[in-house]
Amino acid sequence: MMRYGRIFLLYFQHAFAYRSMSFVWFLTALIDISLVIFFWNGAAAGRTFMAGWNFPSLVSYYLFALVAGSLLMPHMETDISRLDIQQGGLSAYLLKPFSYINFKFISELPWRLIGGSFGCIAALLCIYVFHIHVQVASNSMTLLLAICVAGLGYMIAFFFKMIIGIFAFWIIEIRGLFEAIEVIMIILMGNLMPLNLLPQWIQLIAYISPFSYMIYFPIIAFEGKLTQIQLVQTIGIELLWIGLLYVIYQKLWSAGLRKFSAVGN
Amino acid sequence: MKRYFNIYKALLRINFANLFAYRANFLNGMIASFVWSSFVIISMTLLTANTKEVFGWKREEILVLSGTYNIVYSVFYLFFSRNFEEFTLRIHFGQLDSILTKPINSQFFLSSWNVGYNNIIRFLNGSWFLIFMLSRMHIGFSFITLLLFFITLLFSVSIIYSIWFIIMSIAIWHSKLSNLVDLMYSINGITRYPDGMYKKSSAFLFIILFPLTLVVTTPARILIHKAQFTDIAVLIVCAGILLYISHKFWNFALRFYTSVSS
Repeated sequence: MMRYGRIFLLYFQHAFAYRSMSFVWFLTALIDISLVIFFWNGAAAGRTFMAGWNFPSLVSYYLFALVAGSLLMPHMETDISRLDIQQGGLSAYLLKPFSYINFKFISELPWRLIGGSFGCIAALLCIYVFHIHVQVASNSMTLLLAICVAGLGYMIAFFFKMIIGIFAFWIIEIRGLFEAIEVIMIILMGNLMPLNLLPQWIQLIAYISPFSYMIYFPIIAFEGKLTQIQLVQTIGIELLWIGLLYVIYQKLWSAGLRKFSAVGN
Repeated sequence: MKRYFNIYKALLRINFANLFAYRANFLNGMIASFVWSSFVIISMTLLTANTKEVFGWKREEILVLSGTYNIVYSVFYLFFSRNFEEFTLRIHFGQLDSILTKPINSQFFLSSWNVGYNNIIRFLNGSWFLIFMLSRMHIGFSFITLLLFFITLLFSVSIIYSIWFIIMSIAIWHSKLSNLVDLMYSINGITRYPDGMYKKSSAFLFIILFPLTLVVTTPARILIHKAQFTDIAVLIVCAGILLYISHKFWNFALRFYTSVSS
């Protein structure tokens, strides 16, 4: 346990040294979300949309999306595919006395904490400066369950990114696949707009995919839009997804390691 | 000038030959271009699904804006964006030293070495969508319209190039910012929306973003026959001023460049 603590601290120092990079990542998320808010300012101002959304509730949603995107969305798939698998850095990890997935999990956390804190600060500033009313669940039990939904959502995103990262065992040029998956995720996670504003068939795909549990469900859980029973159901589905993704990861990892060859490391 | 033209012709040839040497890379780039250009169209279609008119633009006109966005940025990405992706790395790893010692303008070298041919797919994706939308809106286009469209497109690309170059020059002071280029890709998103959106949000924001609001809306206005002479004139003046500033700012930034290898 101590060694993982040390890895966390080491990577925290690393992430902190590169905090300007985290800030730029955060700025990109802020710009994307601000643009959509500005758009809704014209498209939804003064009227209630379908599914009960109006402009203030949309702003509240996007502020949560800003925080959730920077706190709950890991970005280690490019490093795994390029640095570890294609350039052979993986062999160094394989010789170390801890599991690769644990190492990746611990080393990603500092980036999420620093990115997430930028997100929280920006959201709080927006709330204070623009007097935005943010909808938050008032019941402490609901909040506790919402934290579980968010934590498990992070785990789903983490396992999913691990899986697409290790696709590099089989596909050498993987950038096109990453871009395609990113675009699908932006829509199905609820980053573009709340899922229940999308056409029915896209909603259906989103709800049966793991993507909606990464960002959308944590947001509406914190906003208090789910009852406690629905929250428990969401946690159950998230656990199922985590189990399934973990099994897929293990199968692919074992098969991939048999294919992996590194020279000169 | 002729020397630079010849160099650029040679670069185009070398980059074209690279396509066949790195076919998988090219295919990946094509997929990425197709996916992102489709995303621009799909996301705007979804965002405007419940809207007939917003910021003085009808829904169909906003979709024309998305098609124009793809065409304008396909040209920019084709000629420049890959060079900007390497910009911070060249500075961070001290490769700028060797560039500065070459008998060639460093701004030209940094901006023109790589050509992203895969972005032709973005151009095609934007073109078919534009033709589809314009025919659906029963808007025809003459030779003059097309000529004006391509002229404004060139000035739009010049504005985008200048803004990218000015911001990327910050890497001279902060070379660790290897993801600065990702921020620029996000800033491009500003031009996807009608200019009235920024006017409505804040006058200050509109002034700051003014040159960016022109780059897609002006060519799009030409296609839907809503452009005025002043729109085109303002675009051309902005392009000239920004190109001049980018050159001056780069020379100013170079004074602070501390090489890593020497």
